[in-house]
Amino acid sequence: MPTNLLLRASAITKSFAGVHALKGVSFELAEGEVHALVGENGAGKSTFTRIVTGALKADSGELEICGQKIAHHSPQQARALGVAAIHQQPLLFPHLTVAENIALSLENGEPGWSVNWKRRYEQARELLHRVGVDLDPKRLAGSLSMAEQQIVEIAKAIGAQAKILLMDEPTALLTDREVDQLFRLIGQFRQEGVGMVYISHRLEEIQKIADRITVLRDGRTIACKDAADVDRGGLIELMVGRSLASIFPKRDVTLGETALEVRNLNNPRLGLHDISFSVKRGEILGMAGLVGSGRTELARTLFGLSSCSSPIYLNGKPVRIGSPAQAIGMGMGYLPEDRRQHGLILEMQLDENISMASLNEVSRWGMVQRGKEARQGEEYVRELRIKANTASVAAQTLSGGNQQKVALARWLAIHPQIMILDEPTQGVDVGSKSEIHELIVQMAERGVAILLISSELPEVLGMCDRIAVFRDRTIAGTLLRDEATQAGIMALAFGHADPLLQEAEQA
Amino acid sequence: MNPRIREAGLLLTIVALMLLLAWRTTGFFSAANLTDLFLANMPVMMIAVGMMMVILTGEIDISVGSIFAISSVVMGKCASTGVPIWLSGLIACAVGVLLGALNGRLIAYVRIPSIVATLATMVALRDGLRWYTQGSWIQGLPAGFQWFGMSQSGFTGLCVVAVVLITGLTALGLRNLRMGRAIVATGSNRMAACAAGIDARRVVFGVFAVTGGLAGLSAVLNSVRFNQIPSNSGLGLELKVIAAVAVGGAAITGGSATMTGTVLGVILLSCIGSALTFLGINAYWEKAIQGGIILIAVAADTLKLQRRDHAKTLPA
Repeated sequence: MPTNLLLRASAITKSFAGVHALKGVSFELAEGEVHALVGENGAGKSTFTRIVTGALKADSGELEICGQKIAHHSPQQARALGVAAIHQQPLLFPHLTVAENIALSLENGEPGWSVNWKRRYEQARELLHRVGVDLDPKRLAGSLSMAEQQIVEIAKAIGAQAKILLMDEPTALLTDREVDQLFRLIGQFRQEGVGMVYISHRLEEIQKIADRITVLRDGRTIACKDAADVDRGGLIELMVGRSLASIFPKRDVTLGETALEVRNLNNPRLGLHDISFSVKRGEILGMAGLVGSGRTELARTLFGLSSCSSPIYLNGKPVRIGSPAQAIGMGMGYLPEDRRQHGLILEMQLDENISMASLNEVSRWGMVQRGKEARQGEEYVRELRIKANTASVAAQTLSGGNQQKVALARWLAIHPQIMILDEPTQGVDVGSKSEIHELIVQMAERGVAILLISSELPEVLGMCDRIAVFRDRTIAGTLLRDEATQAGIMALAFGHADPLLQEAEQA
Repeated sequence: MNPRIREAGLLLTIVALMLLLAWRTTGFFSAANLTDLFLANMPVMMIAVGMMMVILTGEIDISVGSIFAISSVVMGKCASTGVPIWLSGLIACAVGVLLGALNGRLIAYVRIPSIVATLATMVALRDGLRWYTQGSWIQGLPAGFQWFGMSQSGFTGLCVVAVVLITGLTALGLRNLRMGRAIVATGSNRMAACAAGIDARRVVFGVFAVTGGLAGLSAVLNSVRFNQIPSNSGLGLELKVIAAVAVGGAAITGGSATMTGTVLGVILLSCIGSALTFLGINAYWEKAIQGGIILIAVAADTLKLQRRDHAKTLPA
């Protein structure tokens, strides 16, 4: 296959403060190829891409870009050679317009001191047109949705005449439809001879678009295979070095009384309207829908993070929840979407993070009993198999999957009756993911009523008893486990007028 | 950088300064000078305890000097109009708490950025006081006002006890009280603290009220050192306090500070002014040297952050 190599790396090593992040990574990228890079969190994918983009310098090994040997590399140099990167989180300046954001990366070193606004807008419009969206270049980047921001990033890359495009989890924040749009773009670039390195945890995506797949484990290249020659189970085995029995451990639980019921909930501030649903003890109610369809907003409303006048029925009794503290007092837990921003306090120790919502259990007369707290922390570290030497290390020293387990431990510690999980496995490696799924099932078996918000359809389908599908900040419909299909969920999420529905039904 | 390293560095600087003073001067270590030095800087220490908590939550309070001045005048006015001295002290402390609570209200509930809110209260309170007193000092204080009617050494002992209690209990509280945990959590990541059930607004309100109260208390203890009270006391106090806390290693972005560091920062900044006098250096240099120390301290923090960010480029 290697016709014309754009990128060749061999035996790249890199260590941080004595910790080997890369212990010999070899990688090739040909013209017009989509080469997927997969591995658990901490396998070295991000470090490798950062070396290619010049953000980091390799300790040893060879790197060749477009036939040029690279010794001392800088981001500017990498850009000049045609390397562009798209990250999981778009890195736009929110207070600048789309056109200015695009211009910033392209107009470097241009002569003259005055801005040619007309040309700026034209250039932006043309680039956006090439990626197939109709965005107003005068809009502020901060007002765009995540997907739109991601597309602006891609437009930037095209404008820079990128020959090598590195994409690090570009679909993590996108909805299925937006993902399809991205894939169409990837196909277009492939035609144009752009080489793409595609990093993702979503294996089904990778199999859809990748030509070759390289598996990294513990900083080493484990295998490089043609995408056609390897199936999902095989990939997972290569990544974790062991085989996973079943991907979703969902077990049937006899359902109890209704734990939480909401009738015609309205929250004008967040745009929620006419939301009605109920969850029984032991039941897992999935919440599917596009990003921004109102799922996180509902979670925040239920948990008292946004005030709302509609009553909520807990065990049949109407209550009003005005603050998270009240919600916790009523036995409700909420694992927020973004663990770094909302979930954990990264500077604090694991045991302090774990006890944060249940401090009354480890304290007396307002005093935290640190011994008791530490013991509780150690217990959860052991029980959830969190990879840490002790519970007294800072949360920021852990990898993403382990951080998520710490965030979950905090809520297990309050012994909740109702648990809201918002994207509990987002950006989590495959091994931790199935462990988290197992924990969710165990919670349900203990009689906890669970709301599971997820943008990953297989997860919703595999884990939930019923699935409420959101559209336009209300529930568009609820499907039972047996009747739910990806196509059915998508049809509800997009609304019937959508052409994708037919596509989905045909599939 | 580990806070212990920062503290060790501060300690070494202080020891070096002391050695220099012992070598080049006489009289610095006399009981009279040390007592005087302690009493003069006691307000800085007390308010620094509150300021450290404010900075821990990621806020700042630049109105403490004005609150200090108002509490001093309230103390004097009450005492000179025949209110018992102990009651005057209580009233002055209460005024401090109230003004701090006003700051807290504006910042936590009206959501005005703390630098703007306390800048406003700083100017408004200071100028309001100037208008009220017309610049005149408060005199005609009753007998038994000075030193609370105690001996000077007795009063100094009282102040030492107060300072030790306030710093010690706060340090313990920050480590072991649920409230202390809430303060640190709020400063580290306010959104995450809220999501864990901590009422961040009440935390912010609380630390401002406490800081106001400490400004009031220190004003009471400070005012009885003299037999008249200037209407412009505490001018520039906020800068010295903030400088001491920053030098002590508190992250100005919140979430990280130690009591040991703060105490050492106060000691260093307090000694420098006096040391210059003893070393025969023009007092004009004091502010410049203070500025230099702050710059070095903050630069050390910045370098630390850069190194940490670099180390953090481990894969996510």
